[in-house]
Amino acid sequence: MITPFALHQPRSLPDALALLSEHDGETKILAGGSELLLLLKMGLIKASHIIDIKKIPGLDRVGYDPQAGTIHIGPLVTHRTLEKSEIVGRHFPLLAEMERDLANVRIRNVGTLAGNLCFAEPHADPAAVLAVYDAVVTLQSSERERRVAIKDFFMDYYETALEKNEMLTDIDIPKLPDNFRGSYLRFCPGEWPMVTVALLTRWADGACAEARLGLGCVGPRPIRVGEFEQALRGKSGDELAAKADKLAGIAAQSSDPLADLWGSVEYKRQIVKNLVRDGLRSQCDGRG
Amino acid sequence: MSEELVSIRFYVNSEQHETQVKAHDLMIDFLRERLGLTGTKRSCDMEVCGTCTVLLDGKAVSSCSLFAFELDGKNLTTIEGLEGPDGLHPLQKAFIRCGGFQCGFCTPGMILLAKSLLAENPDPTREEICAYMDANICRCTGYQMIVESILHAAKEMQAANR
Amino acid sequence: MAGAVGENLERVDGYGKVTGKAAYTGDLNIPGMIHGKVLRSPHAHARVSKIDGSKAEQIPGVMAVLTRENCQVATPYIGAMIKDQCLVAFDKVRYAGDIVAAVAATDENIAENALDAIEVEYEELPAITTVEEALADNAPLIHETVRRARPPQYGRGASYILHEKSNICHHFRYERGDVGAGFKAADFVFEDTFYFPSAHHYPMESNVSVADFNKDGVTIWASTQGPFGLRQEVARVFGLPLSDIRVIVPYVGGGYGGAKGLVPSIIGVALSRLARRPVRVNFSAEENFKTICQPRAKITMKSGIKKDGTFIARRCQLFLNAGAYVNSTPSVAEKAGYRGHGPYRLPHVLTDSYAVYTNTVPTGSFRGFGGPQVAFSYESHVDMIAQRMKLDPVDLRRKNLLTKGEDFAAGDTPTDCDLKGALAKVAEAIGWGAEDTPAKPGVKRGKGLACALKDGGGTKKASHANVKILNDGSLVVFSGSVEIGQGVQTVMRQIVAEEFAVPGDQVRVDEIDTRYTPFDTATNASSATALMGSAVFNAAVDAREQLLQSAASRLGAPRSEVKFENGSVLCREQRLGLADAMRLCFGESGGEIVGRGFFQLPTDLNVPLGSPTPFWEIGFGAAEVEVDESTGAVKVTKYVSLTDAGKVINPVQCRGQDEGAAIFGLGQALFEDMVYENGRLMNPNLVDYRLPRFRDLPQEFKTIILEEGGGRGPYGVKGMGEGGILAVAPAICNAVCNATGVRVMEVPIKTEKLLQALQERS
Repeated sequence: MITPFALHQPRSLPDALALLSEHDGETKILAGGSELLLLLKMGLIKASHIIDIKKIPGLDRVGYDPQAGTIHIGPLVTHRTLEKSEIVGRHFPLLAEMERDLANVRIRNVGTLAGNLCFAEPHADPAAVLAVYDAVVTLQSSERERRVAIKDFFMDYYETALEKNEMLTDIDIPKLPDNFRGSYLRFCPGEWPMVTVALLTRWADGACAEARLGLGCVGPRPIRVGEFEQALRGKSGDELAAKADKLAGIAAQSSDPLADLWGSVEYKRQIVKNLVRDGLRSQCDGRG
Repeated sequence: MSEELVSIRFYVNSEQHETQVKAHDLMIDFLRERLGLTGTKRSCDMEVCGTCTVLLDGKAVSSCSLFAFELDGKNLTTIEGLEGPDGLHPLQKAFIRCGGFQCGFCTPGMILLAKSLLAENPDPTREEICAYMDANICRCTGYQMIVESILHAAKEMQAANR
Repeated sequence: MAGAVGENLERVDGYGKVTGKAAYTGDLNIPGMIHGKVLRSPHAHARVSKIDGSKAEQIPGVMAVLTRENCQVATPYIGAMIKDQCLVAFDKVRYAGDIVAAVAATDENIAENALDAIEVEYEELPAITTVEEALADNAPLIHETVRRARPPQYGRGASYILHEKSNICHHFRYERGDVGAGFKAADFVFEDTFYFPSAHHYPMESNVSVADFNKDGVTIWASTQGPFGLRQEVARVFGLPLSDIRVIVPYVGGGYGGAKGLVPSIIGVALSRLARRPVRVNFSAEENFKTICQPRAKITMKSGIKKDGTFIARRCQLFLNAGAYVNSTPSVAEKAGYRGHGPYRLPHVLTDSYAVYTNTVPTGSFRGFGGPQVAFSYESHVDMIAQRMKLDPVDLRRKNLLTKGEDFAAGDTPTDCDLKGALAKVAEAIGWGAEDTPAKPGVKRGKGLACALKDGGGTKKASHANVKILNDGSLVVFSGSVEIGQGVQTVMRQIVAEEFAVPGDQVRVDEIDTRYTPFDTATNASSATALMGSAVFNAAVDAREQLLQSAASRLGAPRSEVKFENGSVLCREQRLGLADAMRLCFGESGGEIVGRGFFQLPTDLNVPLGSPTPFWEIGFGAAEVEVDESTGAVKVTKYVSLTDAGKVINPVQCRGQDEGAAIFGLGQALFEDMVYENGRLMNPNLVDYRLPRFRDLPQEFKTIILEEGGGRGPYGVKGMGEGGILAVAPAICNAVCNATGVRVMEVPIKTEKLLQALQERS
């Protein structure tokens, strides 16, 4: 049962931020609410104040800046909007692909990408994709505004860099050059994904010029596997395909999954390895 | 903590309502207990099963995991709103004809979810139906006859629109 | 003509269910109703040394607190064959989730919060969660005293073995021939052990009831498959005559055998008595998981076979983890044991089937009633035998399958279906032996099939029904078969419409209210169409006969000159429709005719289970699967299910029941399992307990429903609803073996284990 709380429905961002600073005790931001309501109903968290930001205009925009080559995603943008967005589909295909598979359509209709990030639920889809895109989030309070790289935003299970009086107001993703190719792989035997893999590669003159590998759900935070990314540089597609299994092993070793009902640590690492290997092989296909 | 009230004005099944709710009231309880619309059912209570699905401004959402005050300014469709003066909605007729329900408990949510699918994609393939409807669970039918009900309704609705 | 048997008559409950107007128990608003919540033990096994509800009673809004101290019952024990469960814990709690107290309050929040004010002191005891632990020497006794009903009346070959001072609460044995001699005469002896999960029914509608204990008696609105059994339990517990208790059953949102309605009702009645208000008890999804489940099974099959593939001897040992309280699990042990040797010719059989207490969630009947567990075992075993002996799995089965008319067990009804023909049909439908399109890289594809049967229709179930003819010729059916989704109301309407040759909408099927509805044992065991259908058919015939006799008398004709034809009473030249015939019989003052029907098979100790099976319910299946070599995940790409309805009364409903049963089986084969750690159930919710979803629907999914006739019900109808679940797990596991060479001995298939096995093979 949800205990009573004071509801605030500010009409501007400064008002919302002021409310965040003003109230001591458990104060929560309400956007879509799917994660918030689940935790409130289960009694895992309590809220004395809830700040509903849905009456603030302009927070639901997806804006693409072609000069800067970045997309700005507001805190009220739902998963469904991103899934269906023409801009996202064209310029950030990996993001669109991830959003299509996320949870179910009811949750996507209501849940926001920003909300998903702020709860830092370890078994979630977006983290690995945002990690390979080198996304940057804007955190605002009444006092200041700061930009935080996604790798520094996630800190631990259910823990982010958000201070108590801060709100995530923007997710900005730089567009990658068109010669990047991406694969999003996930294994989801139950309701929430067990392993997510986001792989991007760029090829030039028959060799891999750059690689980015993001792993989600297999540790307290999403991981970029630098060692793997380095190992791909300069190698031909055939060489990489032949060594895919070994290379994927590097990714598996970097992961730090927890055992649960769905599998042991070794199994989850095996899944990381197999998905990364499969992703790498498909990226190498037809790239000499 | 005093239980403050929130004023809301909204449409349910094309009927305007203006009332007050407690901030922490859930939409599903408000619909069932205050408005007497018991067609919307509760099952898993955690957004997994979709039994509680209603259409908020045409979008399929889980009424078990939304506050009642979220109705403000919105147009809600519940299962009670589907039957019109001309009779049952094609989806309702199709579910009867094609065996899309058995115990019926998931049915209101299932029909509404299907309605939102057909609004977006009037001529879905079997694969598209399964991918979208995967949001909701049925324990009785084994799903195939629900797919057939939706295919049947889609055909009827397209024929009616010509 | 509409309403005729064999037609897709529109469902009685159709309009209500697609419009949301159909009322389920949780939708009812009984005037004055308050809300009940229960307090559950956190410990798997503990003595309740002290319990005090007085602080909770003081809370404003709390109208009653129920503990063992103020129960006011004639007996606190409920249960089917064994009265082992107290409405609230008396001496001990026996599983984590066991109910120790309950609160009724003016709203749910108050009731929920008041639970925290109930003071309970526990003395923890060692907890046992596995059968092995329960059977070990010096294992603590979960029930010091086992209140058994009188021992079951078994017949030829079957026996009941009592174990005193043991956690074995039921031991069923079936034997024929001499297995020792059989194994000696065999050329090969193979033994394999299989494991089947504890699954939870998860009906979409939770366990809910409203109870009103007032000066006139007790009225209960309950979501239940067994209103008369519920009435009986309430009468016993509260020391009331049956006639003072009334059970009303609205639509039920799924049953699947989960003893729904029982626990909330008993608690609700007790609370209502204390609070002097109607009390609704509505369990949450998590509480449903902690109320009942299917007993986990460990099954060892040992077979003796001749080198030409002829089966000679079978020894089965079944251990069912029966949980803390057992409901119908003793019967499940009995039925599973009886069915354990499968649809095969076997001169020598010895089966021992045990139900064993443990400190886990109570168990009971579950769709299939022991059938799926043994079918998984014997059909996997048969495939393994075929592989070892390098015989074709279809040929091996065909060689040994019973022929129609042959005995499954001497004394019982002979088999009533062409099993070999059924096998050929599923094999053909799945493309057995055909050239396969190659699977894409990273995926292995294979096919498997399975043949199973169960004695269908229950044992000695009693069904009464009334059919009324009203003045205007409209008809009303009074039948206690509960509409749980299977379409039983529509079936009864169709039978009566057929017998009176009237359109379906001239026949009303009345709601179930034990005050007016004639007695029926329960809606289970795939029995309603054959058994209640017979009672309804008999009632219709009786009503018709009364009408004809009365008409004959009024017309001054001998009975032999009146007949019923095409919806009319015919006498010489006169033809009267039902309304006119009624006016003739009763005149202007009006009246009605009440036809009565009854069906029950007799006791017969020549039959192993004491009464013949009404019919045999078969479940044959064939699957094509794809195994993902990267993850170990199994996808069923094609599935064919076959059963024999005897006669299809409503085609859409029959198909729905078979498809639904098959996907139910898919759940247990691939996903569903109650997981425990230190005696606590770890996955009582849908995030952690996976149900089949649309994504699991095979791309090709087909049912074949035979109409071989010969059933006990009207028009030769048998029954269905459970056949579809029997063959799924073994067909899938046989297909996985065909695809990968890996033999799965335990379901649900764990992706981790399968991946490991795949990697070991490569």
